[in-house]
Amino acid sequence: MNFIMKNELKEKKDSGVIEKVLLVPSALDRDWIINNSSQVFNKRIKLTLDFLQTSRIDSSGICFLQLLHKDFNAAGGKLVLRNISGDLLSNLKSWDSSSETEVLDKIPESNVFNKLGQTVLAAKEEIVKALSILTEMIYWGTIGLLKKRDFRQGILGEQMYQLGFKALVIVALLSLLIGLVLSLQSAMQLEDFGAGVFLAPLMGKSMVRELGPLLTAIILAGRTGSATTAEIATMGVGEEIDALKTMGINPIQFIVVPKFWAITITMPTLSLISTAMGIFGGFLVAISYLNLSPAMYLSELGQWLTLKDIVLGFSKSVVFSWLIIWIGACYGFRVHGGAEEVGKETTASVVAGIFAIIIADAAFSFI
Amino acid sequence: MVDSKPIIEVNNLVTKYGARTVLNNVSVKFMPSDIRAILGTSGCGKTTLLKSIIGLLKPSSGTIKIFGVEIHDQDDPETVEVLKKVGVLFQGGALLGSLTVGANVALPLQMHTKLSQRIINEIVMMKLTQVDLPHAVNLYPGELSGGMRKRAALARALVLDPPLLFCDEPSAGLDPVTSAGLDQLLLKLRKMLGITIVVVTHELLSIQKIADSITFLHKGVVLYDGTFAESKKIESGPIAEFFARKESAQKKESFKSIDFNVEYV
Repeated sequence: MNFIMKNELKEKKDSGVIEKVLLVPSALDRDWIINNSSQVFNKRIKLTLDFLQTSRIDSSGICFLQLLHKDFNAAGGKLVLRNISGDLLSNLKSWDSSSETEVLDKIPESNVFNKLGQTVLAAKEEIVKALSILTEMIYWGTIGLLKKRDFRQGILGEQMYQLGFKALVIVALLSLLIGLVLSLQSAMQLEDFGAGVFLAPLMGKSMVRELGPLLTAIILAGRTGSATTAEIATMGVGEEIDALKTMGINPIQFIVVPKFWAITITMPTLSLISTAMGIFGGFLVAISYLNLSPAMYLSELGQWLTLKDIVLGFSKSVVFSWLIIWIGACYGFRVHGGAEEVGKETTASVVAGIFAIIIADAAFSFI
Repeated sequence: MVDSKPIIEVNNLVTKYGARTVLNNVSVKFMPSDIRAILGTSGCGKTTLLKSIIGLLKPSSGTIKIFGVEIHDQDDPETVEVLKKVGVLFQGGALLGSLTVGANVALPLQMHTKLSQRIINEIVMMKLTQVDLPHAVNLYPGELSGGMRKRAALARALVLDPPLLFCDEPSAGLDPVTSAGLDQLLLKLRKMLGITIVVVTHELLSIQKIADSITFLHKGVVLYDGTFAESKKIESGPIAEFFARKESAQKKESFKSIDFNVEYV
């Protein structure tokens, strides 16, 4: 490596002006600058850099010399480049950091109030967009169908298979396991009080009113919500949504409405299956652990379950299904950038979906 | 042709992205059966003009008329009706990835006509043959090369026999041979169907081969709007530089470098 050696530094004092001469290494590059950045120059002197041996200068070297030149000028000193070759000099002049460059979209100086205002405005815009997607989804999915039908034949069945049927096994299995665990834990407590027979209404009420719809919704928020966001987002990035618009096809009706109806139909069905599997888990525990007879479990179940419970569970699952598809679509239509945004919005969509479902579930508890 | 009414009329169009003005007071008229190239260097507003014309971008001010009907956003039924008479070839093709090439081409017919599936299938094969792609009817867009994807997208854009076709950078990302093939195809289509074609491009070779007239945009303003032959007579400024593939003289002058103190011993 070529560094300036101490003995190559000449210093002389003529007529009160301090002059220094530095021999620049054969390559004025990044390595040299990193190793010599600690060297402090007195910038009020005349510093002569001798380029006699130098044959190469890289970007770091160019910027280093430009800044040095400016610093010397500002401090009242003088920087002289001695014996520099024409090529090196033209490289050096290829960039001038002081020349004015027009920078697009300069972000204005912002204070706390400014930022707060921007956040509020952005949030307002997002809410308006989300509400417009909701209204469009409901309109084009119901009354709008009388006006025009911008979706392909057989798409509803295809979507029901994708969104509903393919989730059947996982929903059933998880519900059975949760049913087993929950009933086993409850049975152990109930048995202590001799109240084992109440396992049936406990499982029935909790699965029908709460866990059936909630479990299904959380699984579908992960499956369907993310898939919807990713599909719409990728279509947006690939200009497919623009292409639909220019073909006079309404993107909401083409992409979202079939999913809306598919999930509205399949979600309560899946929720019903989930509830049945959970109750079945309780049934297994009741007859094996608590030694209850199957007939007693079923009669207790029938005695305590009301129509209100069933209606509540059904309504919950319908509302949850709309939340999933609405949130999935909103996040999908938000993407305007590239692949990175698709991933980001998909993750955000799942989180927001599950959050909204739990909030809605809490709201239902007051009914 | 001179006496006929313009097919597209853009009047005092201003389009902004946030605070940045991309198109500034653009007024142009496109005549029927013309192949019109919208030219300019990168970032001059070509694609923005195209997207504004087809209603994908809402202008800040100004009006756009296609076939005499004012274009608003996609919720406007009149705009949607006009757009059915317009074919658009997007830069990347924009074929729907979940549908086969055949289903993609058939889509506008299924959505907007009541033709039987048998006739639709026949039209799809005819259009795919026009773009020399009948063998790909059952393939998915992901299985096609870039050039094939563009040709398939062209077939879809033409399936409703639109009198007006927009192409956004048809040669972008294609090799010179495929790109020349696409140019030939556009010429053939104009001859066969008599359609008006608006091409956004910066490919000089392509422009020379196909364009009858050009609209030259520079920094969001129309610098030239007229025949291609006339435009070549311009000897200086951005248009001359564009055709001569020269670096902008203006750009060179604006750069001043630091005056270093240099001495030789």
